[in-house]
Amino acid sequence: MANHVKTQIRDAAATACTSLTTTGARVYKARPDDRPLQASELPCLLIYTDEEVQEVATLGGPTRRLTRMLDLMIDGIAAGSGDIDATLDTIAKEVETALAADATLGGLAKDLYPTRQEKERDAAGETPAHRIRMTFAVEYHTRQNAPDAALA
Amino acid sequence: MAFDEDLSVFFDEDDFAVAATLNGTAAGNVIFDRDYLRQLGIVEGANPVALGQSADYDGTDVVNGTLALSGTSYTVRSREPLDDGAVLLLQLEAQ
Repeated sequence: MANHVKTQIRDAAATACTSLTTTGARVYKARPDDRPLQASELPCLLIYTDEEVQEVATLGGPTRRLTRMLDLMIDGIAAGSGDIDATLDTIAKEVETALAADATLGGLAKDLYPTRQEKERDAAGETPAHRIRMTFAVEYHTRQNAPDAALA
Repeated sequence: MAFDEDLSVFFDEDDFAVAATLNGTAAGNVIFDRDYLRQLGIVEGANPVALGQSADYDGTDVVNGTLALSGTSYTVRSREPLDDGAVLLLQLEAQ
Protein backbone atom coordinates (compact mmCIF):
# COMPACT_ATOMS: atom_id res chain seq x y z
CA MET A 1 0.00 0.00 0.00
CA ALA A 2 1.33 3.40 -0.93
CA ASN A 3 1.84 6.19 1.60
CA HIS A 4 -0.92 8.66 2.32
CA VAL A 5 -1.09 11.21 -0.49
CA LYS A 6 -0.05 13.98 1.89
CA THR A 7 3.18 12.06 2.53
CA GLN A 8 3.65 11.72 -1.22
CA ILE A 9 3.02 15.48 -1.54
CA ARG A 10 5.64 16.23 1.09
CA ASP A 11 8.12 13.96 -0.68
CA ALA A 12 7.38 15.56 -4.04
CA ALA A 13 7.78 19.06 -2.61
CA ALA A 14 11.12 18.08 -1.07
CA THR A 15 12.29 16.72 -4.41
CA ALA A 16 11.20 19.90 -6.19
CA CYS A 17 13.02 22.05 -3.63
CA THR A 18 16.26 20.08 -3.56
CA SER A 19 19.31 21.63 -5.22
CA LEU A 20 18.04 25.20 -5.11
CA THR A 21 20.84 27.75 -5.26
CA THR A 22 20.71 28.96 -1.65
CA THR A 23 19.70 25.86 0.25
CA GLY A 24 21.16 23.12 -1.97
CA ALA A 25 20.69 19.60 -0.67
CA ARG A 26 19.96 20.83 2.86
CA VAL A 27 16.27 19.92 2.68
CA TYR A 28 14.81 18.14 5.70
CA LYS A 29 11.37 16.54 5.88
CA ALA A 30 9.58 16.43 9.21
CA ARG A 31 12.78 17.17 11.12
CA PRO A 32 12.15 16.28 14.78
CA ASP A 33 12.68 18.92 17.45
CA ASP A 34 15.15 16.69 19.25
CA ARG A 35 17.53 16.87 16.29
CA PRO A 36 18.39 20.59 16.22
CA LEU A 37 20.03 22.05 13.16
CA GLN A 38 23.79 22.47 13.23
CA ALA A 39 25.56 25.47 11.73
CA SER A 40 26.85 23.23 8.93
CA GLU A 41 23.24 22.47 7.94
CA LEU A 42 22.31 26.09 7.26
CA PRO A 43 20.82 27.66 5.25
CA CYS A 44 18.21 24.98 4.83
CA LEU A 45 14.58 24.13 4.18
CA LEU A 46 12.29 22.28 6.57
CA ILE A 47 9.29 20.70 4.88
CA TYR A 48 6.23 19.43 6.69
CA THR A 49 2.48 19.40 6.44
CA ASP A 50 0.06 20.94 8.87
CA GLU A 51 -3.68 21.40 8.85
CA GLU A 52 -5.91 19.68 6.31
CA VAL A 53 -9.59 20.37 5.67
CA GLN A 54 -11.71 17.83 3.81
CA GLU A 55 -15.03 18.24 2.02
CA VAL A 56 -17.28 15.68 0.44
CA ALA A 57 -17.33 16.24 -3.31
CA THR A 58 -19.58 13.41 -4.47
CA LEU A 59 -22.08 10.97 -3.04
CA GLY A 60 -21.24 7.31 -2.77
CA GLY A 61 -20.49 6.15 0.75
CA PRO A 62 -16.91 5.12 1.48
CA THR A 63 -15.93 5.50 -2.15
CA ARG A 64 -17.12 9.10 -2.26
CA ARG A 65 -14.67 11.65 -3.57
CA LEU A 66 -13.09 13.98 -1.02
CA THR A 67 -11.65 17.39 -1.78
CA ARG A 68 -8.75 17.98 0.54
CA MET A 69 -7.07 21.34 1.24
CA LEU A 70 -3.69 20.78 2.84
CA ASP A 71 -1.29 23.33 4.30
CA LEU A 72 2.19 22.52 3.03
CA MET A 73 4.72 24.29 5.23
CA ILE A 74 8.23 25.16 4.14
CA ASP A 75 10.55 26.92 6.57
CA GLY A 76 13.66 28.59 5.23
CA ILE A 77 16.27 28.88 7.99
CA ALA A 78 19.42 30.96 7.79
CA ALA A 79 21.94 32.33 10.26
CA GLY A 80 24.20 35.33 10.27
CA SER A 81 24.31 39.09 10.46
CA GLY A 82 23.85 41.71 7.80
CA ASP A 83 21.01 41.67 5.31
CA ILE A 84 19.68 38.21 6.11
CA ASP A 85 16.24 39.55 5.21
CA ALA A 86 17.40 39.52 1.60
CA THR A 87 18.66 35.96 1.99
CA LEU A 88 15.24 34.89 3.26
CA ASP A 89 13.58 36.66 0.34
CA THR A 90 15.89 34.82 -2.05
CA ILE A 91 15.01 31.50 -0.41
CA ALA A 92 11.32 32.34 -0.84
CA LYS A 93 11.85 33.25 -4.48
CA GLU A 94 13.62 29.99 -5.19
CA VAL A 95 11.02 27.86 -3.41
CA GLU A 96 8.05 29.64 -4.99
CA THR A 97 9.59 29.29 -8.43
CA ALA A 98 10.41 25.62 -7.95
CA LEU A 99 6.92 24.72 -6.78
CA ALA A 100 5.22 26.82 -9.45
CA ALA A 101 7.07 24.85 -12.13
CA ASP A 102 4.65 21.98 -11.50
CA ALA A 103 1.66 22.93 -9.36
CA THR A 104 0.41 19.34 -9.55
CA LEU A 105 3.57 17.91 -7.98
CA GLY A 106 3.74 15.19 -10.56
CA GLY A 107 0.01 14.65 -10.75
CA LEU A 108 -0.65 14.36 -7.02
CA ALA A 109 -2.37 17.72 -6.61
CA LYS A 110 -5.10 19.61 -8.41
CA ASP A 111 -3.49 22.92 -7.49
CA LEU A 112 -0.81 24.47 -5.31
CA TYR A 113 -0.29 28.14 -4.46
CA PRO A 114 1.32 30.27 -1.71
CA THR A 115 -1.03 31.68 0.92
CA ARG A 116 1.16 33.17 3.62
CA GLN A 117 4.72 34.05 4.57
CA GLU A 118 6.05 35.25 7.90
CA LYS A 119 9.53 35.98 9.18
CA GLU A 120 11.02 35.50 12.60
CA ARG A 121 14.41 36.43 14.00
CA ASP A 122 16.17 35.16 17.11
CA ALA A 123 19.02 37.53 17.88
CA ALA A 124 19.90 36.06 21.26
CA GLY A 125 22.96 34.10 20.34
CA GLU A 126 26.45 33.99 18.95
CA THR A 127 24.98 34.08 15.46
CA PRO A 128 21.43 35.38 14.94
CA ALA A 129 19.05 32.83 13.44
CA HIS A 130 16.32 33.73 10.98
CA ARG A 131 13.30 31.94 9.59
CA ILE A 132 10.85 32.54 6.79
CA ARG A 133 7.80 30.32 7.15
CA MET A 134 6.03 29.76 3.85
CA THR A 135 2.57 28.24 3.69
CA PHE A 136 1.24 26.73 0.47
CA ALA A 137 -2.31 25.55 -0.05
CA VAL A 138 -2.43 22.20 -1.81
CA GLU A 139 -5.71 20.90 -3.17
CA TYR A 140 -5.87 17.19 -3.86
CA HIS A 141 -8.62 14.63 -4.22
CA THR A 142 -8.92 11.04 -3.06
CA ARG A 143 -11.61 8.47 -2.50
CA GLN A 144 -12.62 8.37 1.14
CA ASN A 145 -11.48 4.76 1.40
CA ALA A 146 -8.26 5.25 -0.52
CA PRO A 147 -6.28 8.15 0.95
CA ASP A 148 -3.14 6.78 -0.65
CA ALA A 149 -4.32 7.33 -4.24
CA ALA A 150 -4.61 10.82 -5.69
CA LEU A 151 -7.47 11.34 -8.13
CA ALA A 152 -7.09 13.31 -11.31
CA MET B 1 25.27 54.33 53.65
CA ALA B 2 26.85 53.88 50.27
CA PHE B 3 30.49 52.90 50.07
CA ASP B 4 33.04 52.31 47.38
CA GLU B 5 33.61 48.66 46.87
CA ASP B 6 36.65 47.19 45.17
CA LEU B 7 35.15 44.78 42.65
CA SER B 8 38.43 43.95 40.99
CA VAL B 9 38.92 40.98 43.30
CA PHE B 10 35.97 39.33 41.54
CA PHE B 11 37.61 39.80 38.12
CA ASP B 12 40.99 38.30 38.90
CA GLU B 13 42.66 36.34 36.10
CA ASP B 14 43.82 33.85 38.72
CA ASP B 15 40.19 32.91 39.22
CA PHE B 16 37.53 32.98 36.52
CA ALA B 17 38.20 36.20 34.65
CA VAL B 18 40.15 36.76 31.44
CA ALA B 19 41.80 39.82 29.99
CA ALA B 20 39.87 41.61 27.27
CA THR B 21 40.36 44.42 24.82
CA LEU B 22 37.67 46.78 23.61
CA ASN B 23 38.17 48.17 20.12
CA GLY B 24 41.82 47.19 20.32
CA THR B 25 42.54 48.83 23.66
CA ALA B 26 43.05 46.96 26.92
CA ALA B 27 39.85 47.03 28.94
CA GLY B 28 38.76 45.54 32.23
CA ASN B 29 38.85 41.82 32.83
CA VAL B 30 35.64 39.94 32.19
CA ILE B 31 34.13 36.62 33.13
CA PHE B 32 33.19 34.91 29.90
CA ASP B 33 30.39 32.38 29.45
CA ARG B 34 29.11 30.62 26.37
CA ASP B 35 26.03 28.63 27.27
CA TYR B 36 24.12 26.33 24.97
CA LEU B 37 21.21 28.00 23.21
CA ARG B 38 18.37 26.67 21.05
CA GLN B 39 17.27 29.35 18.60
CA LEU B 40 13.86 29.41 16.95
CA GLY B 41 13.25 26.08 18.66
CA ILE B 42 15.32 24.17 16.09
CA VAL B 43 18.75 25.77 15.57
CA GLU B 44 21.57 24.73 17.85
CA GLY B 45 23.77 27.58 19.00
CA ALA B 46 25.53 29.30 21.86
CA ASN B 47 25.03 32.51 23.77
CA PRO B 48 28.36 34.20 24.54
CA VAL B 49 28.29 36.85 27.28
CA ALA B 50 30.91 38.74 29.25
CA LEU B 51 30.44 39.93 32.82
CA GLY B 52 32.47 43.00 33.64
CA GLN B 53 32.66 46.08 35.81
CA SER B 54 30.43 48.87 34.58
CA ALA B 55 33.17 51.41 35.17
CA ASP B 56 35.32 49.60 32.60
CA TYR B 57 32.58 49.49 29.99
CA ASP B 58 30.67 52.74 30.26
CA GLY B 59 31.72 54.45 27.05
CA THR B 60 29.62 55.11 23.99
CA ASP B 61 31.92 52.86 22.01
CA VAL B 62 30.93 49.71 23.90
CA VAL B 63 27.75 48.72 22.07
CA ASN B 64 28.67 47.72 18.51
CA GLY B 65 32.31 47.75 19.56
CA THR B 66 34.70 44.81 19.28
CA LEU B 67 35.48 42.86 22.42
CA ALA B 68 38.40 40.47 22.04
CA LEU B 69 39.26 37.82 24.59
CA SER B 70 41.12 34.52 24.53
CA GLY B 71 41.90 34.96 20.85
CA THR B 72 38.32 35.48 19.70
CA SER B 73 36.65 38.73 18.66
CA TYR B 74 32.99 39.51 19.26
CA THR B 75 30.71 42.41 18.52
CA VAL B 76 29.03 43.79 21.63
CA ARG B 77 25.33 43.62 20.91
CA SER B 78 24.03 45.15 24.12
CA ARG B 79 25.14 46.40 27.53
CA GLU B 80 22.95 45.21 30.39
CA PRO B 81 23.57 46.62 33.90
CA LEU B 82 22.90 44.08 36.66
CA ASP B 83 21.43 44.67 40.11
CA ASP B 84 22.77 48.01 41.40
CA GLY B 85 24.60 48.63 38.12
CA ALA B 86 28.14 48.12 39.42
CA VAL B 87 28.58 45.15 37.11
CA LEU B 88 27.10 44.53 33.71
CA LEU B 89 26.55 41.83 31.18
CA LEU B 90 27.75 42.32 27.62
CA GLN B 91 25.77 40.31 25.09
CA LEU B 92 28.15 39.20 22.35
CA GLU B 93 27.81 38.20 18.73
CA ALA B 94 30.39 36.32 16.69
CA GLN B 95 32.34 38.27 14.08
